Amino acid sequence: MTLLTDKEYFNKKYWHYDDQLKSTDYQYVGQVLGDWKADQIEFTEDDARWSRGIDFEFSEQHGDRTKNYELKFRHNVEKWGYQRDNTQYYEINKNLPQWCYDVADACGLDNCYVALQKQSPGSVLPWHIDSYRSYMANMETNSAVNVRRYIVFGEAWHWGHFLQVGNNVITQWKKGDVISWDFQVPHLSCCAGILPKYTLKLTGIETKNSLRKKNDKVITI
Amino acid sequence: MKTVDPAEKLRIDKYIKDMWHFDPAIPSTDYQYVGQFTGNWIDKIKDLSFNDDSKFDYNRNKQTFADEKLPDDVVSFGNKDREKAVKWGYDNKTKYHQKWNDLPDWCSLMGKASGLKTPAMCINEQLPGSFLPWHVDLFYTYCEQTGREVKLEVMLKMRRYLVFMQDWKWGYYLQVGNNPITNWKAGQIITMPFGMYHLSVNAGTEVRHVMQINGLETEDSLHKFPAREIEINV
Repeated sequence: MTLLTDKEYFNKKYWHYDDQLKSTDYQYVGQVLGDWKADQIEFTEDDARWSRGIDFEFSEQHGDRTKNYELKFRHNVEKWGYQRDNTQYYEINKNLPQWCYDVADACGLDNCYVALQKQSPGSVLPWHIDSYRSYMANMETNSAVNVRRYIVFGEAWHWGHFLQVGNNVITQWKKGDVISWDFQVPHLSCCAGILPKYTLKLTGIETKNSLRKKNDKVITI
Repeated sequence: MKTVDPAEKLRIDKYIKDMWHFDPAIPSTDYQYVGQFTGNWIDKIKDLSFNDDSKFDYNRNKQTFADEKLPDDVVSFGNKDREKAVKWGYDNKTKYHQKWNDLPDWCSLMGKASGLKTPAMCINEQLPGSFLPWHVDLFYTYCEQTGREVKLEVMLKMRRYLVFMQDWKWGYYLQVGNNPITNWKAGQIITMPFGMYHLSVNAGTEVRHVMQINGLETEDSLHKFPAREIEINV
């Protein structure tokens, strides 16, 4: 595994960091149609995660440089005022229902890591950039720059659900809509509503067969 | 604490249930852009200060009515919004500052310029990670401060303007009905009809300030005219 250099993690050339600039910071990838029901999946407390502060324990596999980035993020989260209560979410990545893998196949990322997330009302995943540390620890890839994340909305938009990628606030999606953004664009996710928000997180290497590269943007599974 | 005729509560509740579609998939227009306050007041925002007197917890302070339990099918009145917010998962996540007193002079100038009768202003400070969950404004504080009865006819004459005190920053989010409102500029003013559900969250990295102007509608109220700029200088 080749880790990102510090320059790759901290270089701001990938985005402008000006909240007043009218930029387009994410891409609409397409839509996967199907009759799945994300809100019927059971999550347990064992699946709970949250934006842990500086007490987060790093393992060997995270690598020193990744650790630098992660620490910077975690210090910021604490400084801004976030804690476990308002950042908790749930994620499962094993024994997922078949439709999750079918959706992943339809999206066409190589070496795809699939995880389903549930964000309950009153939760923020604060402003951050993806380090892909877990993906890089488990998959063979030369650099995080080659990694692409697709987000598939598990259910139709409901009140208080939003994602923000760069300066773009994303709402009112349809079930199965897929979005993505370039490496190092900061983003956040929030459920300020009355029902949980479900998203399928796909992480992999994009190829010419990936949904974003295809002309036909709608796939039925 | 105010007491309100139970029959009046049900009448207000019915009005709220009937006045909107409650379907998140309908592309409705649920708020109105009123205009923008320009001028040098923006330079004074940094002088705002909040202390313990202005601390407010939506969930904790919402118990305005100390009377009988309402039927379960009442959606919005009295303590119902609070009960629902706790059930949804918002307990201990709704703290913010609400400053009604000792406001700077430019606030009264904005109140006067609003064209609302007996305007009462307050400034909300919302910290990162704080939510104001899905709710309807029932103008409790305004009615208490101005000695008005909580009656549907009064509510329908009430109007709240929200004035953004600073430019939009990452993570600031307001939603009125089905309309997300983001990327605003300092001084921009919006309003919504009585009974419209809305929510607010600061999912960002810096505190957020919004001013309310509450009052009774008149023929001169700003939202009765096409949106325009109003200069406020101090």
